[in-house]
Amino acid sequence: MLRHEGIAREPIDDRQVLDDLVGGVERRLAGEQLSFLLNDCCMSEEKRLRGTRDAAELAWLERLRALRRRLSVASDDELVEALGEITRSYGEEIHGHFDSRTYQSATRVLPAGLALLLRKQKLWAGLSRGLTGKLSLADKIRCSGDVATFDRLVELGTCVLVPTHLSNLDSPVIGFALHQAGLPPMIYGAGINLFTNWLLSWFMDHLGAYRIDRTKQHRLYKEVLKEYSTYALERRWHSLFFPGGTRSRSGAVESHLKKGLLATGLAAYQRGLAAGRQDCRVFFIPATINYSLVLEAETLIDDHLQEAGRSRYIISDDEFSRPDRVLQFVGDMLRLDNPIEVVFGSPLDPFGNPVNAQGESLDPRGRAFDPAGYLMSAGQLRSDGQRDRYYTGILARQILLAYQRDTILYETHVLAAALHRVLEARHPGLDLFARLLLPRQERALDQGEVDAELRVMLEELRSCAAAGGVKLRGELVTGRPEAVCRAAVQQFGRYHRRRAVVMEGTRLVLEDPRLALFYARRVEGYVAAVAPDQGDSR
Amino acid sequence: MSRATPQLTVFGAGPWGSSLAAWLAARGYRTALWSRNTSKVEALQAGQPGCLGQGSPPPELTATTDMEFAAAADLLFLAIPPRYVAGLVGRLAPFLRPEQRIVHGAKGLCEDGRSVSQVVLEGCCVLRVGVLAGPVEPADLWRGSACAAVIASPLDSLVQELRSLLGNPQLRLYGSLDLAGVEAGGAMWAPVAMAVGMIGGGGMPAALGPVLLTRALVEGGRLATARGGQAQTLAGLAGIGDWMRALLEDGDPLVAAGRALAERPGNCPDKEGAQRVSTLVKLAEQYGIEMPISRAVLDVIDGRSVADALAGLMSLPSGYEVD
Repeated sequence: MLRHEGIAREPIDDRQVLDDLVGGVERRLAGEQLSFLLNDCCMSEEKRLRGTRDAAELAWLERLRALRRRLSVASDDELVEALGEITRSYGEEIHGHFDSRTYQSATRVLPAGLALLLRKQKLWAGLSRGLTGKLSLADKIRCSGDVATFDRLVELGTCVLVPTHLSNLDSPVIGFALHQAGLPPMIYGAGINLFTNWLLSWFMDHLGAYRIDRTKQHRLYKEVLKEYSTYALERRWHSLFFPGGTRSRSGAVESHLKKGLLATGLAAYQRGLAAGRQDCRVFFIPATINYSLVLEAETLIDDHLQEAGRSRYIISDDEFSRPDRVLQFVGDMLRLDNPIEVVFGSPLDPFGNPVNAQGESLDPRGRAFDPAGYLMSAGQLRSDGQRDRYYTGILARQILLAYQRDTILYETHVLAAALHRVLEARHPGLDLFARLLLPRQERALDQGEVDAELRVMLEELRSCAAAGGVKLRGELVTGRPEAVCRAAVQQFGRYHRRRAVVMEGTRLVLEDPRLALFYARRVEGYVAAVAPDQGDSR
Repeated sequence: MSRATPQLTVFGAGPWGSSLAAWLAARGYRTALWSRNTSKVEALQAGQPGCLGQGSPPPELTATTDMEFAAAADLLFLAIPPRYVAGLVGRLAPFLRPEQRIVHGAKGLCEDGRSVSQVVLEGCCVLRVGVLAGPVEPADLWRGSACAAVIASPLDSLVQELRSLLGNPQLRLYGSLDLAGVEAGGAMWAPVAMAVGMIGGGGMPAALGPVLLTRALVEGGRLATARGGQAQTLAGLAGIGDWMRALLEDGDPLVAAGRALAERPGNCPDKEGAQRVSTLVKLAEQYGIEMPISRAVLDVIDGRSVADALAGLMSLPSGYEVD
């Protein structure tokens, strides 16, 4: 029996969901030039599906072509009808297939499934241990932070979990973390490309995932997605967004968030207030998912560095698409101490204010107040899109601050950053790309020099951690630079095909400077930059 | 005087605050003027003529030292120097509600580099904040002189509300959504006004005035950009439009301080102005941006002669006019 029911609190009538979605999109777009919007949709889909041979896609294209031919002469009613048809079609694709009974079995099997992935154990042994809760997975995915408040808030309103995003493993990891912490299931938007992995697809389907197709870039699709999210929050389906939009390509902590889905929290709250609902509060829970090693690090950093990569929003050929690499990664990670940690941050209201365990918004001095006033003018609830974007911007800034505070740095991050900083100081005239192309002998650095850099960095990081600005693990907490080096080199040797850093006698070699850069970027913003260039303009 | 809940409250009964409060009250708004200065408040409550400098207080004006009463208004104007804002917001915070709006008229940043709007946002529950800026003087309002100003807030609804509340055929109000840019323009007022005074006091050619202003425009643009605003905003009433007043009018205390510094470098008669320039220079270092005019003004505040400071500025390499 689920302790918190969340999306399982009521049977979900898929047909009703789609009807409501169509109605919601119609209301959302009331007053807009529907013919323009539909034309944009048709053109965009034509472009997206150019050259397709898939029968279903061809049929869909034919429907859109027929619609486009009618657009210039269509009456208002016909346009609304066409809008409804397209919305319903997108809604069918997006809407997940959550079922409380399957959820319960899926969550029971999840640890075993993950462990099988991770430990390559025999099926039955894994399943039996998973079902009896004796697996060591819980030791490997550690949860920390304000779980108790989160636990209370799921009963008081709708929770929106907004984690950092580094890996496609984030979804199952956080799903497991929620289950482990006794928290309710959450629906979440997952890239449709992820459903190609059969095992993950099964879990995602049954753990509340809905599908987002990022190749559909036109406005109507985005409005359908936003309406679906708003509707879900209104129905008190706790939700999970990755507000960074995509995995961090550079390895750095997110510094910019996409606000479209974030804004749906405020929209749902506003609709709840308008309907006079008592339980309409929406709470955002920032979270960080931290790895000492990242499954797709090699592909992600390559993508970040390649000019072509900037437009390659969806990567479908990375390590995640190769089961052997996933198995190897998870197996290797399990041999590390605390390799994955999820930190649940302090909750926020849709305006970026902190929230206490009673669900009350707090001002900067800790005084509780009712945030409904933010949406009022002259005592009345008013809708105002520009105002709401401003509020969502404030929320986004607070989430980013929480990410900074709740990020965990491991030895791998700090050693990689130290090596890159030494290289940067040695070659002040070279830009990053030139440094990455330095010959191997130039990338071999004296241990003493690296230790000196590490000493300075550790001092800064420990002082930052003491002030609550970041979290440190392992040797970073109190260890000496040599110990940090040893631990990091050992961890780098665990999984990646090519080691980021190797030790050769008294020298540390940046064996794969690009891969090391991915880990180094996590430290950005926590230590002072290396000798910035000085401008000379007045 | 009425004791009904005010529609508007002005905090600070200095020349700006009291003029603004009286002007608002004269326009029929139920206005409170809050001050911690009990004798001033008592004089206003007694309706003593002349205590505002413009005759008897209008009947719609209530002077008060009661923070809770003053904080009840929907719209609050802060007319106090930046260094007192954090303290005031701290005392106000327990009485504030999220539907309220707070607008300030401060030119300058707080000592820690935060703008007044940042201090408000970080100190209480109010999120709807704005600033009134531009070349408007209290006397302009009372004389009924034609004047113009800019209202800036990230919220269009607040800009529109304030324009309709304050604007009239006498006061032409423009709107801006660039709060950070407008506040950067205000922050540049101290070094610009002091530099104008130094040019006059140091017997420098008058043509340096326009040079100063146009270069300050670039400098202020860098500051605005570093703080998340837009450089272009400085080309408006909150930037160069305001600074030109320093060239055209003679009476500003900061211009006078610049003139005094030209005669006696290192002896700044306006300590608050000196502090604002120092804050700007520290911020420039923090942001890694060039602010040579502010730097040169600070040098004179610290004792360097104006001629030396000018020579230093003139010897810097010149590049393209706009960054």
